[in-house]
Amino acid sequence: MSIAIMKAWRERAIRLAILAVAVGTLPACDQFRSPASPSAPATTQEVALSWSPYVGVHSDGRALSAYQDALAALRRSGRLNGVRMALHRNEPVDPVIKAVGSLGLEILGLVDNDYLFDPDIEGAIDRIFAAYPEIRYFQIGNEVTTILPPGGPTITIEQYAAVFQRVYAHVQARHPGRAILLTQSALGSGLRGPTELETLTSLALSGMDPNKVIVAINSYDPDNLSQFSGLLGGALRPFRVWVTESGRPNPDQQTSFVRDKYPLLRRFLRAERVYWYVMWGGDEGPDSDFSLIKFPASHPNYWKSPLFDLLTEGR
Amino acid sequence: MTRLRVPLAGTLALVFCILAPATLPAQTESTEGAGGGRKSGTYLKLGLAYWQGDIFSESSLTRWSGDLFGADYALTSVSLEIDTYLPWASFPISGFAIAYRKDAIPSLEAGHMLSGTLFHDFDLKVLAVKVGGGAEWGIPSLNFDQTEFEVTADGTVRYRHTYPGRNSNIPVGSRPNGVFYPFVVLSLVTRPGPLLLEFGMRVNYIRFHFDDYELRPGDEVIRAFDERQVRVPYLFANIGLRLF
Repeated sequence: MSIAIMKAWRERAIRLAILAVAVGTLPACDQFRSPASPSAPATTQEVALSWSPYVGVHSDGRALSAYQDALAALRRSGRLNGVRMALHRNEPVDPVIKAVGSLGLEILGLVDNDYLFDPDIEGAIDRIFAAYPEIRYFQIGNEVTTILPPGGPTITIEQYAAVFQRVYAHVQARHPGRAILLTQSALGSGLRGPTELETLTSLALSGMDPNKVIVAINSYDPDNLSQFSGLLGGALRPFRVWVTESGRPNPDQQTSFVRDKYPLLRRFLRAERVYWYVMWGGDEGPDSDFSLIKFPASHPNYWKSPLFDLLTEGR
Repeated sequence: MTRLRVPLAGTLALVFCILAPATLPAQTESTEGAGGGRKSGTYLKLGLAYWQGDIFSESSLTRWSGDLFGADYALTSVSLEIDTYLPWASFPISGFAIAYRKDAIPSLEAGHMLSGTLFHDFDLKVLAVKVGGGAEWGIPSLNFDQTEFEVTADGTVRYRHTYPGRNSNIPVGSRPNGVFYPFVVLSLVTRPGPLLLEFGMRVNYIRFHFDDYELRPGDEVIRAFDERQVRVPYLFANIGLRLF
């Protein structure tokens, strides 16, 4: 074969290789698009497919009428099975929790961080169990190393592990079968949450019955959960996982968040439940735009988010 | 809808059909270049790779989905690699490569992979067939993680979580957080002048976990865990420049 023909074949091979690289570049460029770029609002069907029927509710008597109205609407539409509510130390029996429970909703009781410093936390657990016989799931603390105000007492994850161990041992000894405990919620992105969960696992969870404890994670950024994979496939493999807080602080993006991000929470964390944060986060302030409703004092004319409207549409 | 499945043979045939016309005539040539000596050198390569498949349904190389947008995972990777072609080509090693590959490009946390490869290139004059193997280590992309839920009429919830088992430690974050696995690679390479052009397929042998959970009313949980090595292929194209 002549050198000219050989050269022609070589040029053809080069063109083909360049074409292959160029074709491959197209999907690569697509992946460089910002995940934060605006996406189209979700449809009712898309939200219904992805939604998890659980919501966080702040206990506030001023919002009770609106809560009853809004929660009942979600319940009627089949979009709500349960709520997560904090059990505050200064209120032995919270009438808002009782009122919400009377709607037939399952309650996840969040044992407030203040309890963690009670020298007689076993006694506190006894009183909580007595006050709320209808509650089966109790979460012991929430984001304990990050949200306690620096002016007051703070706790490390090692200290928390010791407290959680005490609560677990007490419940198994004095109240066997009475409750399922949830760990404090690890922060769902970055390194801190996964590292703390690793510590909690080695200090406490590895010696506990996975049928009696559920691992809790708060995740507002479901695209960055890779640090949990090794734990969930390792020492935490037999444990169930609930996402106890997730959401988006922008009412216009809430529906697309549910459509796009809830599936990732299930997929990456095998989360059985996702609790939306939050039913009402205040009429102003940093949590306000997470809300499904606002201005509850204006009941019955309180504000409803597009996500709320979509969840209750036609019901 | 039934997904179109392209078997391995079809994929390899496609690769062969694209590049074979360029190689077959060259086989009749006896030598290349003055003296017919082997062309050694070290190249810096930029590459693109495309993966797709259906680990969840346990398909991999032999049941590779031909539906570009219907697979359970599909991702594009970019890579930076240094290839060295040794001056001699004694079997089985005629060169080696080290590479960094970024999978799941938007994610900062995951999809960072380092690899080392030993290869032999069979010179077909115009092109070379390169066969190699090596090992890869890093934080895998979450694109391979899947969980599928099913709720039955009595309220029982079943789900299967499928993911690459972490078997190595990366010195950042919670542990174990890394994977380490072997791979084999087959490619066609041409090195005109200072350039290098390459197209091929790599098959990774990754150990996957298949974790089944059944949650019955009353919080009774049944678990069944399994692990299997799965062949995970991808196609790649590289363009390189000779450094020295």
